[in-house]
Amino acid sequence: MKKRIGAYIWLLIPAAAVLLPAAVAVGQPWRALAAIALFCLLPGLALAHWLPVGDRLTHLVLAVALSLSLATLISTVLFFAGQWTWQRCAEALIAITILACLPRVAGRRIRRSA
Amino acid sequence: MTTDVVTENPGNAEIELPLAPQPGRRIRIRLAWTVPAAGLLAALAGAGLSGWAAVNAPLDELGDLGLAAVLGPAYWAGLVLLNVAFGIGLFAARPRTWLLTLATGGLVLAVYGAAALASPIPRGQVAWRHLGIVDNLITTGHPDRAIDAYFSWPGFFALAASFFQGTGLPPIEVIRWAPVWNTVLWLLALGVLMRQLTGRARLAWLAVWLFAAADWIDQDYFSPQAIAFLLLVVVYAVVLHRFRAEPGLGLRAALRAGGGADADAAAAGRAATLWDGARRWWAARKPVGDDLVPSWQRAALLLALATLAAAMVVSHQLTPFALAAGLAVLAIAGCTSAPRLPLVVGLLTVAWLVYVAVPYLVGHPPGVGAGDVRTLATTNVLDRLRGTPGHLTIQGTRLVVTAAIVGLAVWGVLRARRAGKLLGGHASGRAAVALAAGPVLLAPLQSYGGEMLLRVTLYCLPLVAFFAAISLLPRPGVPGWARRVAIVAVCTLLAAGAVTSRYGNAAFDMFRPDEIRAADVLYEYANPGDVLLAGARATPWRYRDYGEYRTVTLEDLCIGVDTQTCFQRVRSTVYRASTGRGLLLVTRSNGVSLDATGQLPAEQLAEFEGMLLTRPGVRILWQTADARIYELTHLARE
Repeated sequence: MKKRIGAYIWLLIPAAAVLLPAAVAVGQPWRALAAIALFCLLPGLALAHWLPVGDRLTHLVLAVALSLSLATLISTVLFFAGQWTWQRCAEALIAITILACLPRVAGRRIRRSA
Repeated sequence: MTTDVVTENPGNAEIELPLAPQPGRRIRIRLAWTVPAAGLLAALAGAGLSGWAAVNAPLDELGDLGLAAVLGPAYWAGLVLLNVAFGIGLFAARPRTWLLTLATGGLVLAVYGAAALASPIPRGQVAWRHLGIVDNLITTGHPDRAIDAYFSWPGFFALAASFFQGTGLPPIEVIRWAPVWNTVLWLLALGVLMRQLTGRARLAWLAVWLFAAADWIDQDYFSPQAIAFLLLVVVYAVVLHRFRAEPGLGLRAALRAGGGADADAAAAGRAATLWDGARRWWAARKPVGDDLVPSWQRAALLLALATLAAAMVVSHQLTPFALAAGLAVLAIAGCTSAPRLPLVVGLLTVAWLVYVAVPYLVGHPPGVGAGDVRTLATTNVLDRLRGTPGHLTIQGTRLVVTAAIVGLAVWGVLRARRAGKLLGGHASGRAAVALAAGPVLLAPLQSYGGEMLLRVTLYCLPLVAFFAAISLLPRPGVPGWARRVAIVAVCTLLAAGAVTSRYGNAAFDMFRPDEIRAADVLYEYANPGDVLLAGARATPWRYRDYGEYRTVTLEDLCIGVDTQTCFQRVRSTVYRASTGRGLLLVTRSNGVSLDATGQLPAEQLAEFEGMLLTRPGVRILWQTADARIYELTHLARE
């Protein structure tokens, strides 16, 4: 049961990230919630799962810090490159989230089919 | 009636009423829920009372004692109840996490959200200015480093630009509530840090609470340092979580032994011996608890920490130095198995300074003023100890709160010398001392605009709170009643002092609607090339058209000179504008701030305004009870 929930989480994180553009179309408060999740939580959550941090609180705090850091660095680079739009920043964060989740999801599918 | 708290099963309410009481035996009613229910009520009532009092605070009556003077008894009663609720949660047989979390949330709302509850207008002129920088980035699409130093460290503002545009939330509301959200994030990170320092949950909770109760430093507003501080605490916590080490050798013993066994080193003299001893000591550190982690995961975690450090480096000038100093002292003390991490942070910081922040570096060469203790003391402390009696009371309260928490911490350090027993298992008092000591090294290096001591205090405060908690809770287990009461009393007094200190400048950093409207009107009247003047820095302006206008304040031009000289300086400033036109905004906050801080008496500002109106080329464009806008043109022809 626990394993199945784990598998769904690995599908849910990138799915939530991808939902941002849809949420923008739907409007508030969904747009704000989706954007907050993307800028402040999801990329870090996807990455922190690969890191050796023990408990849930440490995991969560590291995920928030990583997400904010990535959003900061990506936005800064985009500004210095003269290419900034918030959509580009969001796309980069979505890509990081999906890439960080992909090995887990793919690994599970491969194991299941084997 | 006796009430017996059932500790074996604290979550369940149990009422035991014997049907037939035997003679001589008292009825025992077990109300396991009584105490936690009282805690719950106290927390809810405390938050409610404080919040209600803040919402209804009469801001028109704000004086130089700040917000604390108008919050009313209900607010303080609420603060006491929140501390009582915290005490109930803390001193249960097992600390009640839900009650402690609820009480902490209430405290954050009461202390950090008081200004946001009291007024719909964000507090503090700096937050307004930061809004202007974000606006400039969004409008221009690139950071123009020629504007000012903020654009050499644009990381936080770039993040804010993406966040504002992505979420679609009103920026004013975001910056109004920023202290609350920032503090929530800080406290979560502090919770993780404290858990690395002690295995005692009660001690960790008390340290977090002491931080929240004693942090009057007011750096949690919408600012780069707020996010940078969060990242700093997270890096500290993760380093202690996964890269903790213990020195394998005593430093003195290692230095004494040195290369004694090595004949060549002995022959090379004492310096070589010491060097060899130091190397042996450095190499002898033993990692704690990370044997089972694969090396790729350790490398990935180090990369994650470097990412956090990089985000800090692009966002804030000072915090990366504090991080590097803290980690360096940690490494030198032998408490981390990642001793090269401070080097990485240092390299990132220097690389940013050399490649990106060059315009700032040219204007502010490093090392200037370093070690000038007299100037540092003057700008950081003595300059602040002047002004009206109320303002001096606030400054005194700030010093007392700081001295109290630092005094408790020193007492705690002395007690923690028996660390192994005292801190409960895996704690490391040495690591905590090292992390607290690191940022202190920054204090003599620069005055940082008179704010260095404030910032250093903030960087040390988590560890100071930790040791203060040790002084209050020296031994594991539930303390006696006298100590419980004393702890709740200390926490309450600290929180009251912090509220008084934090909002001590409310008379001039909480703006009125007319002042905001005046700033709007100022920009409506301004033409490209005009110079914009304000009475003092305490002005809610520069939130738009950030790089468009030259801005100057009378506080910068006129302190210490007479009215006539002040006017001449204003005239020459306006003359240098390409349009020869200046707009001067004088608000109620300007007058109060100059008067309260002892820089310019209210009469002198009134005299200056009176004189302005007698000059040709000066006229009032717009005015209300709280603000006036003067147009200054052709002043040089006089």
